[in-house]
Formats: sequence, structure tokens, C-alpha cells
Amino acid sequence: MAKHWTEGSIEKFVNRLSFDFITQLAKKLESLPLSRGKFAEKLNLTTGRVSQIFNDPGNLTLRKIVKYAKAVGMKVAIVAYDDDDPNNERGPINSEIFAACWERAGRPVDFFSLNTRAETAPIEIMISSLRTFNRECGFGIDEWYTAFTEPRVNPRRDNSVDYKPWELPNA
Amino acid sequence: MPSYTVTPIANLWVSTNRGLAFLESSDSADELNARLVFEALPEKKQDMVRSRFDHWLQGNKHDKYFHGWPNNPTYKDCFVFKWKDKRQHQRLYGFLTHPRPLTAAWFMACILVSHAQKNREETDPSELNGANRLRIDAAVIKAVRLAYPEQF
Repeated sequence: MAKHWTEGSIEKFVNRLSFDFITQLAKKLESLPLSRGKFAEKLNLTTGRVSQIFNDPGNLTLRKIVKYAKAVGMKVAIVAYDDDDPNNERGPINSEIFAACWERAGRPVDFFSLNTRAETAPIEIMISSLRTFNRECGFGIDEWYTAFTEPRVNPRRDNSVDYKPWELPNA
Repeated sequence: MPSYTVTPIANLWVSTNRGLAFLESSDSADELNARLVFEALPEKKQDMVRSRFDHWLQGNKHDKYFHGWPNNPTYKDCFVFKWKDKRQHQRLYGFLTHPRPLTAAWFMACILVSHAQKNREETDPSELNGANRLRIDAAVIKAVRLAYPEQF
């Protein structure tokens, strides 16, 4: 199988990482009430130089990466990973994928919260889905209360008797 | 009648969802210069454009690097990759197509057609019209299917 273009040299791989990083930065900057001019000011750079960096970051140093991230209120992690592609045939995984996974895992800040988050993540996803459902369908607390407390008929028992969901006798 | 060749761009991110290729014609009057321009770029610029290609192949979204016109019925199948060089806007125009309707209907290929360099950000509709015309040309469709055959 052919190798990915970043396998050509270490510099090419670094250029691609710089590109991924600057893309994250550009997206963050767009979401902030911070103009490119103000961003440039924070970094003691001209707006032209900032545009140049955003268009073609080239080979960024770690020092610059940290400096630029701090200017938009972000931090940086260097993540090593094994994607079963030791010959780099596929290419590097986009750094936004790692950031998105961290968000989805509930933004764990240490190994304790990582383990707790892993256990509760399905519940958090369910709660978040319910919140979305409530918002989109106008389903409020009263509707949920009614849904849970309305008398139910147990089809396996005497149909003339009403049971609450939590009072259903053993079948 | 010109003959067409579709060449998938080598050494990019390998995706089962998307593919990226250049369209060339046997007739130079067609001005299908996307491949020529890309390959003539200095190595560093080429890598920067490859990074943009990779991002699209990986399913990322960033209008400043590439975008289509999904809300415009006329140009909804057109696509563009963008970058700036020497204060000029550089564009690679192409069209989107699903070349494997039977075995991988989800697979989408972007076929790059032409290059444009301009001072202004706005899109020149003539470039999009050119891509649109080629998208429905029987010889081009055949060349695309040859480059991305069904995988039975």
C-alpha cells in the first residue's frame, strides 16, 4: 500500500500537525468576540503576519503553539497514539478528533474523573438526549411526572386494579 | 470528442467515505488545469493544500479551506478548495459525485477540474458552470466510474 504524504519527511508530518493545530485555533477564534487584529495585538504580531500563519502555518515550534493557544484561552496537550498504522499508510488522525473525544467523555480532568466519567458516560448521554427532547418537544416536568405517575394496568394481572409503575406486583 | 481521465490523488488520507481526484482532458481547449497547477506548486504549498484535502477526506468542516453550495440548487454539486498565496485567492474548483451507487452509495468523490486565481473572495459562476457541465458529460461520468469502480 502507498504511504501517506506525511511519511515523506519528519518536517512534512510536523507541517500537517501545525496545520491541524492552526485549524483548531481558527475555529476557536471565530467563536470568540476577538478580532484577528486583537489576537495579533496579544501576540505582538501584525495582522498580516497572523493571516500568513493562519493560511500556511508551516513548521510551528512548541513554544509558539503554546503561546498562540493561550492567546485564545486554550491549552495544549501533545498526544501520542497507536492507530495500528506503524508505516503511516493512512496518515495522521486529525487532532480535532482527540479534542472531540475528550469533550464526549465529559471533559475528564484527571484519572479519577476519567474512571468515573467512563462509568457514568452512558447516563450523561441519556440525560443530555432527554434535555434535547424536552427542549424540542416542549416536554416539561409536569408531562414527565404525569407519564410516570399515571395509573397503569398490569396486563398480566387483574385488569380492574390500577398500579403505579413502581407498585407493580411480581408477575 | 475529447477523452477524459480521472486520476485519484495519491498519498492522501485513506477513506472509505470520500475520494479526491483530478479530471484531465485530451483537448487542451477544455482548460482542465487543476492537476497541472497543483503539481506545479512548490513542495511546501503543495503540502499545505494536501492538508486541506486530508481534512475534507476526514470529514472535517471549515469553510475557509473548502466548501460546496448545498443551498444553491444550481451549484449544489460544485465544490471548491481554497488557499491564499501572495495575497491572491487561489481556488481549485470541482464537482461532487457518488460513483458507486450499487455497492457504496455513501461514497462521495470530489473531482477537481480547474484552477482560478483572483483578487476578490467572491466566486466566479463561470468556473462553477464549467464544473457543472462536466459533471453531467457522459464521457466524464464514464471516466469517474473507471477511476472509482463498484466494489462487488
